[in-house]
Amino acid sequence: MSSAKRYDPSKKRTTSLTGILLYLLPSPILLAIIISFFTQNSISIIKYSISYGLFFLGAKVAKKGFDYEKVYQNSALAKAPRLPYKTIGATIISFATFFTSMSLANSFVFSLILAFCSLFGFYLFYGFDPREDKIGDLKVGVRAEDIIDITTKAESKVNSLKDLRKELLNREAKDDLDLIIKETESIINSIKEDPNDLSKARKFFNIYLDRTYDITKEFVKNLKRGNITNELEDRYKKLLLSMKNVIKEQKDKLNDDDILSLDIQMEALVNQLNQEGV
Amino acid sequence: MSEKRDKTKELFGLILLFLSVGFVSLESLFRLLGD
Repeated sequence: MSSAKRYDPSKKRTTSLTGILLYLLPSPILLAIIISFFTQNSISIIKYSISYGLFFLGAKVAKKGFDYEKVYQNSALAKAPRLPYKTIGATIISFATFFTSMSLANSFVFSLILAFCSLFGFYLFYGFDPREDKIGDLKVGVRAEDIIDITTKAESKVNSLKDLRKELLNREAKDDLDLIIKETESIINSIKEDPNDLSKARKFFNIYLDRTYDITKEFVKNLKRGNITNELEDRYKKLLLSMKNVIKEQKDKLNDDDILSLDIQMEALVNQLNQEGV
Repeated sequence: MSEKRDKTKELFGLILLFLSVGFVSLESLFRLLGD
């Protein structure tokens, strides 16, 4: 069983403006650099440029962390960011605060306090990075990495199929592929809802979906070159039809198992009630 | 109650960021203007 906890997205703000404050707060330093240019104060230019550069770098890294967090929050299954970008960004900003304060000839202790305040303030306002993979309770033998990898790859294949569909000219093939795309998305969602079903859909994702994608890609490539004969088009349509059947079987397989599980649970409860004489 | 606590935490964080980053930035500018 996985001990992963669900991440609560409602507690963190993730708009495209997140982190803008980190660029705005050091803007007086940018003004100081411009003034230093006019007064030709080269020491100030260097000093303030390093300060602003550090603040800018910190904000940039933190922004990357916010973007990762947004993706993490919007996905039912997600890996925690590989690098703790928000924490790294906060540390850089904290160092920038320390460096700027020291360069202004403030005392070491005072600079250290300011640096700590910026780090702690960042933590309270933005929070640090999500560190745990977002996954439900898993059966023994089902690995979170496999589920995330397979569903992410499948989603990417589905998106590519959507693009390829636009290139198809035959209305019937277009409709069939559209149905395949929609049904595949529904299978992906059902795996996300119940990751323990992955073993039953693994073959579908790894073989059937991959092959359909490869063949569709080749088909579209040849269609653009004008190499597609009527015979090839018919064979492609037959392939899509077979894929539709495979998808139907796959969905039945996923549903049957749920029904079987419900049936077993009901039977077990009835037996227990009978034994207890209810 | 928890939401109120979160808001207070965020507000405190924002104040700390202004007091630290905002302070050194403004100090940089005013020191330069004062020179």
